[in-house]
Amino acid sequence: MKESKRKNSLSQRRKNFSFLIPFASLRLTITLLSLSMILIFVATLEQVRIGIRGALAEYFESFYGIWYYPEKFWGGEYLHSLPLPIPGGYLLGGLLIINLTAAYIVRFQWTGKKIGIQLIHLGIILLLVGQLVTQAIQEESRMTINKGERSNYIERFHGVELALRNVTDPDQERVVTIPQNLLEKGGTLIDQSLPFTLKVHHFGVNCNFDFVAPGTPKSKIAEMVNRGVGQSANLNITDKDEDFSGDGMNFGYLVFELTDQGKSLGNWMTISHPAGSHVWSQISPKLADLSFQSIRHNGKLWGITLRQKREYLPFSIELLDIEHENYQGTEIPFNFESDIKLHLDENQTRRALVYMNTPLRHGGKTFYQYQMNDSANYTVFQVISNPSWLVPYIACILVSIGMLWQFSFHLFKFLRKNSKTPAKA
Amino acid sequence: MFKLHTIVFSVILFLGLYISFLPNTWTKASIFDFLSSGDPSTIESNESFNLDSFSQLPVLRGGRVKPLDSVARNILLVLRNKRTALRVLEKEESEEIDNITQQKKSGNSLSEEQVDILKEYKKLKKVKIPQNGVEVVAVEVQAVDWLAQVLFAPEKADKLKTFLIDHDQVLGLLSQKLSTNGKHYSYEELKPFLSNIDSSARKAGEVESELRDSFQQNIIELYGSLLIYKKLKHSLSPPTTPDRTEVLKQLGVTELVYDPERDRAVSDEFIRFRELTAKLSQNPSVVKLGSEEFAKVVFFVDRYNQANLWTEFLPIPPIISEGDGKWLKVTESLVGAEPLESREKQNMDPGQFALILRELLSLDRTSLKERVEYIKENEKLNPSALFAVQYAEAIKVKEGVDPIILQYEELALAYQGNHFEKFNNLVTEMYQLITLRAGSATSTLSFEKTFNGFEPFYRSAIAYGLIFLVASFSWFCAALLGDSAMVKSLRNAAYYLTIIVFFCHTFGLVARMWIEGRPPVTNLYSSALFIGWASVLLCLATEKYIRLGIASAMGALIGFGSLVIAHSLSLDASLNPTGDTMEMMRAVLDSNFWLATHVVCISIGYSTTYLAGFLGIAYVFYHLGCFVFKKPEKKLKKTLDSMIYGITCFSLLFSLVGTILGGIWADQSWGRFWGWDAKENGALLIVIWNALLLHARFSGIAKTKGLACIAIFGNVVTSWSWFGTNMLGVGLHSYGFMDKAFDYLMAFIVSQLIIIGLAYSTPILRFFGFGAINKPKEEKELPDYNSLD
Repeated sequence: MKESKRKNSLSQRRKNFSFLIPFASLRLTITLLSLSMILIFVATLEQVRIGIRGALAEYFESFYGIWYYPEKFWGGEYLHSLPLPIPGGYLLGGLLIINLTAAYIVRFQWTGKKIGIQLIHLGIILLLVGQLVTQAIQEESRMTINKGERSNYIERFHGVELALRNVTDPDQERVVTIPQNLLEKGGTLIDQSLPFTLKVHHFGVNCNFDFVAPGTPKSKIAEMVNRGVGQSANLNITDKDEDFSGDGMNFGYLVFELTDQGKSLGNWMTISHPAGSHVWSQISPKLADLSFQSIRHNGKLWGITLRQKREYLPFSIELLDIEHENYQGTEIPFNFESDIKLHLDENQTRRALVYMNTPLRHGGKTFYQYQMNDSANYTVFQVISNPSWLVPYIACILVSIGMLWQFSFHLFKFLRKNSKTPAKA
Repeated sequence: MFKLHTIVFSVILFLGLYISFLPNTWTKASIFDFLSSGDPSTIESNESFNLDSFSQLPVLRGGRVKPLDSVARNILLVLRNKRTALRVLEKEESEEIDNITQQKKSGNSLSEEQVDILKEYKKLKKVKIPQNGVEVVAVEVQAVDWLAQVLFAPEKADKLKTFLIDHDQVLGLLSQKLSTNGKHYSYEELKPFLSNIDSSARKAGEVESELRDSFQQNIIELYGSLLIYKKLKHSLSPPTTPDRTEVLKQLGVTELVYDPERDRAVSDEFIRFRELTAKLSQNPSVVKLGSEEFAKVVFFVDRYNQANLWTEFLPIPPIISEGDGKWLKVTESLVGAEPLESREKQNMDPGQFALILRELLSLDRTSLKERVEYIKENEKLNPSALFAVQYAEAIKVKEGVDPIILQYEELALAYQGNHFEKFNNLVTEMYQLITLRAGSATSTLSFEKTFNGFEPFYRSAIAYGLIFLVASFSWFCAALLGDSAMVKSLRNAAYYLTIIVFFCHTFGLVARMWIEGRPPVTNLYSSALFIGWASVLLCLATEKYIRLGIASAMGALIGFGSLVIAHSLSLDASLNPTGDTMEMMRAVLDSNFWLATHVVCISIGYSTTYLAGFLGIAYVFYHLGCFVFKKPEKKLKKTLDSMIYGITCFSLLFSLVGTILGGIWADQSWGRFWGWDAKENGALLIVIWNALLLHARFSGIAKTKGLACIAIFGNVVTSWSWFGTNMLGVGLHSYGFMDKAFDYLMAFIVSQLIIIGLAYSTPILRFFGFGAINKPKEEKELPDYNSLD
């Protein structure tokens, strides 16, 4: 009686949402799963060529990607030129969510016996949605702290900004930042707090740069620079494509002109260092000023830097000590550890240890031990903010319970059925 | 009266016990060795060297305290891919033995001595190897015997066949041929070509590792082997300086350095160095540039710093009073280690260096130690200060010569002079002293030594082969005799045999866990051990209820295969450069909780997917057999169908939960759940494939044959995830990069694809006249697949 009522509820749902029935088909599920296999396999292979970030952008974070059969493989010389469209992560993920949700409505029986199946699929939906959201909003940054110092900002691994700092008053620094997308657009930028206008001549996300002897011909971009480091160090730069590989370094560059009421003040060049602008002085004293090119104008002192995009935090972290140990007599690292003090505000602090497998979670951000320089006494945390970090945990619990329920149900049935077999034989 | 099948049953079981636990043709050790105390303090006989006790002396290599036995075996594994060396019999020896055997044959009575010689000789394992085009007899030298010779009698060891070279171009470089001189070489034979090997290896090293051809890989491996051998030789006695008499004279140290004609052992030099430093620590004002006394100290510190590089293991146990648990090299115990790379010395300011050193030496020892700590902490970028610290410690903090150094030297002298009793007593004494100083780190050592000799995985692999034979034979009998008592007892034998071997395999796994203090899976090697183990366990459970010999056979096949894979992984130089499969874990992996959950779940996921795949293969062959012999597919079809289904359910459970747990580990340590890393993607592929199999079954799209083929392709997916992703050389999990295995992986994948092809080859077979002419009638639909929906 009860059973038939539930079946009725399913047929009721099938009637009400009949348009969903084709979307709930198992054939569609199998097709989507097969396509995901292809997507994941191809994107993994492509990581060798274009790096994880490249594969992400081309395949996982897109609706489709175009794949060329690798030339090095068997038969590659013939197949390489053939462009193969591969369904992307957003497309397959989205369709799978639709497929699953539709199945929920028009195919699953909402009964206790089937609760395992429902839980599993609910968990999978959560995982998919969570990953889509994460993929769209997760940000990866880093924080570099010298021993004994405090830091209150994080820098993006990718993406730059132009910072113009008015440092005339040593107590009060005023900063104007221009984000990358405005620099990419180019043209003339006017800001009320700036006493001059800034004209973008060239901007690029990556470049080669080199010292050249005076008198050597330079690239068109470098040729026009007549002020600042570009001129004093006689730098030549050439534009370069963005490097998507895991350890690829992207040196953003900008050539700009400052004008005051139509009168040109000169053309400058600035380059960003992917590991942070403090690194310039370690590379060469001639380049040290790239972290702060000073410009005097109308009795005010300005400093200009092209740096990794920054985000300031409402708290700061002080590095007390670092530790780096290897196993005895080997080069195998045994421990990386940063002893830190978290300054929540002026009079509230707390101590914490950040080491492998034990990140610091604070203010919606996760700080984990990323790099460490033992002799130069600094530590680098990778900082990730992922508001949906809890979703996988919930999903994991749902799926586990569901699977245990469903499979133990079947296992017991199987064992009951077969426990008699040996006796019979 | 015993019936034939009972006898067969008992014989098979006894054979299983024999292979798994008793001394046999493959390994001399047995399970009973673990029961005997194995304590080196008992001296059994003084008529020979007690190498058994010697092999238990603890040293530190690869970050782990282990017995010398493990060092010897692991290094031989790298050099020779075997755990033994070879000794070619001298002409006189083989003539004598030939003589004795001749005498015996002709019925002459033998003297007692001759009988002994013959007995000893019969015990040894013999191999015939080509030598200058003639076959000669070589005997196996046990690992620890080899090590003793390398350490104490290097001129003897240099003659042993220690290196395996089987690449024809590498042999060409040594002007040798595989056909005339074989693939076994001694150091002495390689010696004339050292500079050739060195320069070729250097050139090969300039090529990126992914782009090296097989010659380049092999020459680099040979170079590495030679380096290990040389370092091993000098681990206890630092290399003596080559003749540079002029330099020595100029510095006035001719009288101080080791002179084999005058000195008994190298430690005489160490003692003279100590006298020198003692003088200096009393009179720090001598420390200045241009001072003769100080120049001598500088000479020795440099000499010992150099020697520090030439050592393969750390023999000096921690000094208890230091309390830092640090093991040391011989020369390190004299002068410490260089604080920075040697070339940093160029950036040193000699004046400042001497100033700091003088200041340090004028302090008393306690304040000196404090000051040293301070400098080490605060002057990390100042080479002058850091090197001054090393000197100050070498001069004033370190005292005397460590007694272990002296004891090892005495041991060497006793070995060279064949003083058995002295050697054996010394070993006992040293064992006690070293274990006392090493503390708790040595609790598993004598167990580890016995475990090395027991070789449970080697035994298990052989026994798995036997199980497969027994199970296959049972099918053969079933096909001939139908359901008879013989078939039944064969299947029971296979089942109980699996239980016996499973104990042996489990013992090996648990022993490794105990020695390492880790969950079962820590690297690729141990993952292979575990995956085989888990498959066999699952097969046992299946076979318990479905006694068809199929699960036994497939389990045995996977068990055997995975142990063979494990063995070849342990031989891979890029994966296992030290030869030790129990290596230390990198910091990021150092979490027993996640190793025990995520890694174990994933590994079980692998093994269950393989099991489903192998059952799929079993079905395909059953299907083809039935087709060719025109027999209807019986109940077995349904049984296999539900076995594949049930095991895939398990597989999905473990691989999905394992993958999600991995994500959570990643979230905990890196702050992100999923990073599309190659290995992560590999695991995801397995999850999706298992899910696909289940959905294909639910929807009725795939019938038994389709299901079997999906399961077989699961083998391909799993192998890709297990090994293929590591071969890409990208991502966080690329800790196990291997290049050689690529061909094997490809061969396996192709073989699986061929089997899938075979499953669908019935129309072609029919075309050639095989099988039933008429298409067999479709059986009734299998049970309601949609029941899960």
